Amino acid sequence: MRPRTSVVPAGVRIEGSVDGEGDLVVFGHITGPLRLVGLLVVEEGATIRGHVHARAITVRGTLKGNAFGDEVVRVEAGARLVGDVFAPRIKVVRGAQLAGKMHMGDPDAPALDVYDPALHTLTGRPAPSPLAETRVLDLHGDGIPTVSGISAPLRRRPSRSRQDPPEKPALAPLPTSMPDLRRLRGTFRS
Amino acid sequence: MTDPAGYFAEDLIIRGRIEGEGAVEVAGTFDGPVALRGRLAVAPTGRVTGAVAADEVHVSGVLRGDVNAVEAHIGASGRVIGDVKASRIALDDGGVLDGTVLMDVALPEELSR
Repeated sequence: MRPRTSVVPAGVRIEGSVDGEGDLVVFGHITGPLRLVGLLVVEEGATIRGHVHARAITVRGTLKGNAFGDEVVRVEAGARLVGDVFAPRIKVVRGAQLAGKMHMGDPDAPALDVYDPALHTLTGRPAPSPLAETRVLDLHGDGIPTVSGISAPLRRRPSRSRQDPPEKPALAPLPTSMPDLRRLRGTFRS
Repeated sequence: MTDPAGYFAEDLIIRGRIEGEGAVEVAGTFDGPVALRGRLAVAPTGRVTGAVAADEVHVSGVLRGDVNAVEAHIGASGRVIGDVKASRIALDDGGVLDGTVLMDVALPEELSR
C-alpha cells in the first residue's frame, strides 16, 4: 500500500534533509535536500531551497536548486525556478519564471501521468494532446526552443555558439627576468 | 486553497529542524528540534527524537526528548523519554512517561512554605 501523502503546511519551515518513499506536497518552506521515491508538489507560496529528487516534480511555487525528476518535471505558470532541471520530460507552462539549464533524456518515454490537485496524486490518465499543451520557450532569445511541450520533437541545440567557451582576453606576458632589486631598493630608501 | 494540516507520512525521514505555526502530525521519523506555535502530534508509527516546544503535544508514538508545551497528552500507545514541562498534562492508561513532569503547582498557603 502506498503511504499517505505527506504535507508540509504553509506556516511551517523545515531546515534539514527530507527523505521518503511516498508523495509530498509542500505549502511551507524547506531548506535542505529532498529525496522522494514518489511525487513532489511545490505549491503556490511554497519555497524550497535545495536540490530535489522525485519521480515526478510539479512546481507552482519557488524552487532554488536543481530538480531531478525520474519521469517528469512540470514548471507551472507562476512558478519560479532557479536551478537546472534533469528529467526525461520537462513541461514549462507559459508564465513560469525559469533560470537554469534543461537536461532532457529520451523523448520517447511513456505518456505522462496527470497530477490531480484535488487528490494530490497522479491519476494515471493519459496525457492531454501534445498539440494542445505544447509551449515553446525561447529562453535564450536565439530562435532555438529551449523547452518544448510534452511530446513535441526535441530540437537539439547545435553545438556551436553555446558550447564554445568565450575567448578569454589575452593575459599580459609574464616578465622574463626579475626587476633589478638594487634599483628598486634605492627608490624606497628614506 | 484551504490550508491543509501538516502530515509527515510513515515513509518520510526528516533530519533537521521544524519551526513555524500550524498543526503537524508525524507518522514517520523526525530527528531534530521542533518549535511550533500550534499542535504537534506523534502518530503511533511516528518517531520523534529531539526537544519539542509546541502549544499542544500529543504523543501516540515515541518521542525522545524534552517537551515544553501548554498541553501535553500521552496516549495509550505513546512513549515519552524525556522531561515534560506543561501547564496541563494527561497520561492515558498504557502510555509511558520516562522522565520528570515539571509543572507549576499551586499549593495551599500552608504547604507552599
